[in-house]
Amino acid sequence: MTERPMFDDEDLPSWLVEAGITFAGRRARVGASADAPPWELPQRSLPDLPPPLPAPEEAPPPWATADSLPAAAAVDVPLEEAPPGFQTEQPDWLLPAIEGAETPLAALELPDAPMPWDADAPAESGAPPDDPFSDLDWMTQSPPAADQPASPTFKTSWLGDAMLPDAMREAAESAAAANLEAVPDDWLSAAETPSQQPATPTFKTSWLSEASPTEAVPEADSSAWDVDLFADSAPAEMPAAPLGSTTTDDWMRDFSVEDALESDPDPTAENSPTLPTAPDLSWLGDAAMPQAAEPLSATQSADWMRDFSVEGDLESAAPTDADWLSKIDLPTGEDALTEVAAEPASDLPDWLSSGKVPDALDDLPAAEPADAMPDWMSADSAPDLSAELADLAAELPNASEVPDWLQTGYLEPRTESAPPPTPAPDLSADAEIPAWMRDLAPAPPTPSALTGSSDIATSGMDWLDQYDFEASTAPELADIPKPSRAAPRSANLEAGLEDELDIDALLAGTDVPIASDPDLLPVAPINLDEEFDFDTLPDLPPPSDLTAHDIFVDDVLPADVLADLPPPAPATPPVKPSPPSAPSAPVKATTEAAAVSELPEWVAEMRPDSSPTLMIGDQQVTLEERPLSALPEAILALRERLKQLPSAPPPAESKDSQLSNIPEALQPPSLPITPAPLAPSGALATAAQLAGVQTLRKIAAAQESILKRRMETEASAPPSLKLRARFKLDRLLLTLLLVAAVVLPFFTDLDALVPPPRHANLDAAGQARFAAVSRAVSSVLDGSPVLVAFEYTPTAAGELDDLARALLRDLLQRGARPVILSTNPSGALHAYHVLHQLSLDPAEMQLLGRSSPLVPRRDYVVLGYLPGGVSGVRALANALYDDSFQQQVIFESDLEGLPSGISAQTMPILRANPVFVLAQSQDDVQTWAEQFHAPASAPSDAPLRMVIAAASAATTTLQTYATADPQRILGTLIGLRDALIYRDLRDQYADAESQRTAERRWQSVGFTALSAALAILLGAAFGMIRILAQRRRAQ
Amino acid sequence: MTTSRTPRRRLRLGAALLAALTIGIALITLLGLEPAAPLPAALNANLSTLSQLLIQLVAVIGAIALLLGVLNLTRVHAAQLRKFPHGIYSLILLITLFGVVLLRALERGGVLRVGTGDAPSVSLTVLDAAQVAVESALAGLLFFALVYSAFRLMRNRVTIWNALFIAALVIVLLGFSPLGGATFLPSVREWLLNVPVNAGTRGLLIGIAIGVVVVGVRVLIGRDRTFRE
Repeated sequence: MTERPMFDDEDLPSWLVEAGITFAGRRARVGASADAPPWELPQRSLPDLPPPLPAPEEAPPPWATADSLPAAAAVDVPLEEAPPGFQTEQPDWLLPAIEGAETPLAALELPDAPMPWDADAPAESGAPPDDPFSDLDWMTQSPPAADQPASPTFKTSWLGDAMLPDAMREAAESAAAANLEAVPDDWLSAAETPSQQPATPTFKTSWLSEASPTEAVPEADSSAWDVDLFADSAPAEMPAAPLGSTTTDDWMRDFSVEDALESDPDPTAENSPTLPTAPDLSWLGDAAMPQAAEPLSATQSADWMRDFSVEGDLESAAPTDADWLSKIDLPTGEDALTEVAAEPASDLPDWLSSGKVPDALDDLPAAEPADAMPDWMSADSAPDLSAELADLAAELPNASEVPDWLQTGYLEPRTESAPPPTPAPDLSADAEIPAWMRDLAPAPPTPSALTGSSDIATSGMDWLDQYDFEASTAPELADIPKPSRAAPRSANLEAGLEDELDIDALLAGTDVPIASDPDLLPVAPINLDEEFDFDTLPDLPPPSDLTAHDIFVDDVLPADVLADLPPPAPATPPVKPSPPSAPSAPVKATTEAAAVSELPEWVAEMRPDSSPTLMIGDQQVTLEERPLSALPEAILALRERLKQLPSAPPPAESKDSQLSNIPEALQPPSLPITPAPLAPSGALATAAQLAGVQTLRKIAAAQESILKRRMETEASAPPSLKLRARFKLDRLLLTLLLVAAVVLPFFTDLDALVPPPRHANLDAAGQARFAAVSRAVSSVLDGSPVLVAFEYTPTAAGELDDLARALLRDLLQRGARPVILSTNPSGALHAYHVLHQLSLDPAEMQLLGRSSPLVPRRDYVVLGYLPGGVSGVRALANALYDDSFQQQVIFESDLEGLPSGISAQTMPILRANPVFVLAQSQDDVQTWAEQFHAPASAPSDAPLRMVIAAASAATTTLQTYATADPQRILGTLIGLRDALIYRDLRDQYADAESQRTAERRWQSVGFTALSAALAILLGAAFGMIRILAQRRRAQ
Repeated sequence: MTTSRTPRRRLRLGAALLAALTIGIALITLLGLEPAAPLPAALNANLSTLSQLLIQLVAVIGAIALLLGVLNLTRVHAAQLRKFPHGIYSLILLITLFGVVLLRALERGGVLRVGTGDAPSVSLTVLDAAQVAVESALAGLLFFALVYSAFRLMRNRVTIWNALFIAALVIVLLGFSPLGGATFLPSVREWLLNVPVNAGTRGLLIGIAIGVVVVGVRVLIGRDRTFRE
C-alpha cells in the first residue's frame, strides 16, 4: 500500500501520538518489518497508554460517565426496522461494550486537518462542478486511496496460510471444532453470559476456529487477552485472524462498530423497494480505521480490527454477509488473549469482569479449515495502517470538514446539535398511496431499539448528531452545484423549487426564457435530443411566480394587447414546503430504477402487456418503454428532484369521471397559475434577442394580415374571377402596343418607316450569299430529283414557310423534282401540306407555268420520316452511295407508303444535286453540317453539297459552318427577310398585289420589332429612373 | 497498421459483356467512318460496310422506338383516365390519336377522299388547322412574353450585364428593321453577328465537340457508367 502522509504527525491527537501511532513511526515499523510476518514482529511496548481503568464494579469506565454520554439516542431504531444484522434484540451485556467504544472518540478534540477525501475532491480533480453527484461518483468509483484494491470479494482462505503458523494451521485443520470449543471455554467459563443471547443466524465465526491459537497460546485466559487488547493501541502487530469477521456488511465493516451503530446508513434500506442494496461505502474503511486505534473493549473488536491487523489490506475486501454482529465478535487472537490477561479486571466491562460470556459464543459454528481463509489475510506483507487510521480518526468527527457528498447524499449535516424534529408524515398524501404501494414503501424511520435503548448515543457521539441519517438522497438545493453561467439567482429560488411545481411549468419556464434585463447572459437553446445537464438549467422562479404572464402571455400576445391586460395581482408569498409524504430513501435514482425492476411478480403482472400506442391522424406510433435505469443520470437526477417536491392537492374529483369510483386511480395533476407581476427573475434573454423576437412577430403579423386580406378578397369576389391572374397595367399596355404594331402595317403604308428589303440594298456580302444560292439552284439539272430537308416543325412555319416556298418554287420552276424528307415526323407532314397548298394555289401554278396542280410522287416526293436523328442523317448520306438495305428503307416508299419512284439509278443525281435544308434550330444546322458527309469509300472529288435556309435563331451557327466549309455549304438563307429578297431576286411574285402583301407582312414584322425595341428601351429607362430615385431617397 | 483501400466494385458478367460489345461497335464505327491508313484497304472497306450497317440499324431501331413511344403514350394516358379531373386531358389526347389514325386509315382506304388529286387533303388540312395554327400561336405569344420580360428587366436591378443585354437586344431588333433605310444599325447588327456572336458560337461548338470526344473516349475505354453498370 502506498504511503500517503496526509498530514504531519504533530497534527495527530495527543493520545495517538502518545500511543506511538504516527506516520513516522508507521514508516519505521513498516521498514523494519517488511520481510517479517506480523506474528513474528516484536510487540511494541505501550508505556504511554492510559492508566488501567477501574473495574466496572468499582467505578464505571471514564467513557461511561454521565458527562460523556450523549443526552439522547440519535440512532434509536426499532428492532423491526433495523437491517437484518440489527434485527435481534441486543443483550444488555453488549451495550456497555458498545458504549465503551465510543468514549475515546467523543473525548477527542481533533485538529482541523484536511480530510483525506478533500484532497481527492471532485472539484479539484477535474470533476464537473455542476454535477451534484460527481462527488458521489468519485467516491464510489475511485476510492480515496489510489492503491485500494477494487475487488469486492472477500476471501479468507489465505488466513491460515499466511498468518498462522504451521502448527496453528494444522491444529485448525485437524481439530478445529474441538479447539474452538476448548479455547473459548477458558474465557467463556469465566464470562457471565446474559440470559438474552443475540440471535446469530448469520453469525459466521469460522475464522475463530481457524485463527484461534490453541496451540500457540494454550495458557491464555480471558483476562490476559482482554488486558492486552486494551493495551494494544497499535494493532499493526496484532494478528488479524482472531479479530476478523468475514460476515459483516461492508458499510458496517468500514465504519466499524461504533459508526455502524450510530450512523445507521439506512435502517429502511432493506425494506424499501427503492433500496435493494446498501450504499457502497467500502472505501470508508480507511476513514473508520482510526477509531480502532482507541482502547477498545473486547466486545468491540470488529472487523476493522481485522483490517487494523492486516494493515489495510481489508480496504479492498467486501463483506459477504450482512451480519453486523460479527463485527463485535469477541476477540480470540493470541495476542489479544495475552493482553487481556494482563489487563486489570477493573478495565473490563462488567460482563467480562464477572466472568460470564454470552451464550451466543457457544453457538459458534465449527471452525473452518485453514485453507478457507480469505486471500487478503494471506498477504505477504501486511502494511501498517496505524498512521492513516489515526489520521482518519482525527478527522472524522470534525463535522465542519464533512464533504459535500456526506451532506448531500447519505449524511445530512445539521445546523443545531439537537436532533431536528421528525417531519410529520403527510397523511393526506399517504392516503393516496395504494395499499400495495404502501406495503412496498419504506417504513418511516423510527428509533432503533438497539441503540435507542442503550446509552451508546450518550457516550461521546455528539458529532454524529450532526448527520441526519434519515435525510433523503436527493441533495438539498444549497448543495446542488450552481450553474456555471453567471445567471442571477432568484430571490425566492429555493422556496420556488420547494414549492409546488409542475413539470410542465418547469419545462415551460426553462424553454421560454423571458427577458427583461438586457445585461443578462443569453440562454443557450436546449436540445432535448441531446444529453443535457439539467442541473445547469437556469434558475426558475417559484411556481407561485410562474404565472400566465411568465409562461404564455408575453410570448403569444403582442405588446399592445399585453398592455391592455389588467395589472396582475401581487405575487403571493412563497409557501413553505410541506414535508414529503413519504420518507425518501437515501439512494441514487439509478438504484431506485433497479429496485423498480425488481418489483414482485404480481406487480409486474399489472403492467400493460403492450406498449402504449399513439394515433396521429392515420399514423400509428408505438412507444417503446424503457427502464428507468436506461435513462441518463441527469434525467434521473431531475426526476428525483421533482419527486422531492410536494405534489399539488388533488383536485376535486368529478363524479362524471370514468375513474370516479376507483379510489386508487391517479388523478390528473393541476397547474395552478395565479396572476402575478412580471418577475424579472426569469429574464434570460438579451436585447438583441428581444429585437429579433419583435421582428419575427412583425413579420408573422404582416403575413397573417396579407393572408387574411387575400382570403377576404377571394371570398368577396365572384367565383368566375377567383382564378383570374392579377391585372398588370404595364403588361396590358405593352401587349396592346405590340398588337398595334403587328396589325398597323396592313392598314397603312409604312414604307417610309420600314422599307421592304431589297436585294439592291444589301451589301456585297449579302448579295454574294444570294448569288451563291441562285447558282446552287441553277446547278440542279432539269427534271432531276433534288433532296429538300424539312427540318422544322409547324412552330417555325411562320418564318420558314416563305423560305421553303421560295426554294420549292424555284426548284419547280427549274423542272426539278423535290424529294422531301425530314428527321421530324411533323416536318414531313408539314412539307406535304406546304406542297399541297402550293399546288392548290392557281396563282402559284401560274407562276410555275403549270396548268395543273402538282401531283405527288410525280412532281414531288415526300418521303417518310427519317428516324435516328443524327444517325438518320448519316444513314441518308451513306444510302446515297451504297445500294443497301438502308437505301431501300429511305427511298423506296413515300410518306403514304406508296412507291416513291426513286431507284438506285437516281442516287448519282441526288448526290450531284445540292441538298436544300430548311433548319429551324442550331442543332438541325449542326447535324446536317456535320453528318451529311460522303462516306470514306466515296470518291473525294464528289462531295455532298448543301444550301441551308435557317430561321433567325440559327443565324450564327449557320454562318459559322458556312464560313468554315464554303465548299460544302454553297449558300445560306436566313429568315423572312432573305425569303422576300430571294423572291424578289428570282422574280417569284405572280403580281404586284402578292408582292405588296408579302412586303406588308415584312413591314409588320419589322415594325413590331421596332416597337419591341422601343418598348424595351422605355422599360429600361423607367427602371433606371426608379432605382435612381430610390437611391436618392435613401440618401 | 491498416491501410485504407478503395472498395473494389464487383464485376458483373452482364456489364462486362455490355462494355465489350459497346467498345467493339464503337471501334468499328469509328474505323468505318474514318479509315485508318495503316490498315489494308479491304479491311477498311469491310469496316466501312459494317459501320454503315450499324448506322442503318440505328435508324431502323429509331423507327421502332417511335412506335413503342406511341404505344407507351397510349398506355400511360389510358391509365390516367381513372383520375377524372385530370384525366380529361388524357381522354382528349387519346381521342385525337385514334381519330387521326382512323381518319388516315379511311383516307388511305379511299373511303374518305376530298377534292381532286392524290394528296391526303383531309389529313393535311387537319394538320394545318390544328397543329400548325396552335404552335404558331404559341410562338407568337412567346414573343409578347419575351418583350415584357425585357421591359421589366431593369426595374428591380440595374447591372452592367443587364444593360449590355438590353443594348444588344435593341441593336439586333433595330438592325433587323432599319428605320428609314438607315444602314448604320444594320451594319452594327451584322458586325455583332459576324464577330462576337460568331466567336461565341464557335466556342460553344468547340466545347460541344470536346465533350463528344470525351464521351467517345470513355465509351471506348469502358469507363462510361451507362455501359458499365
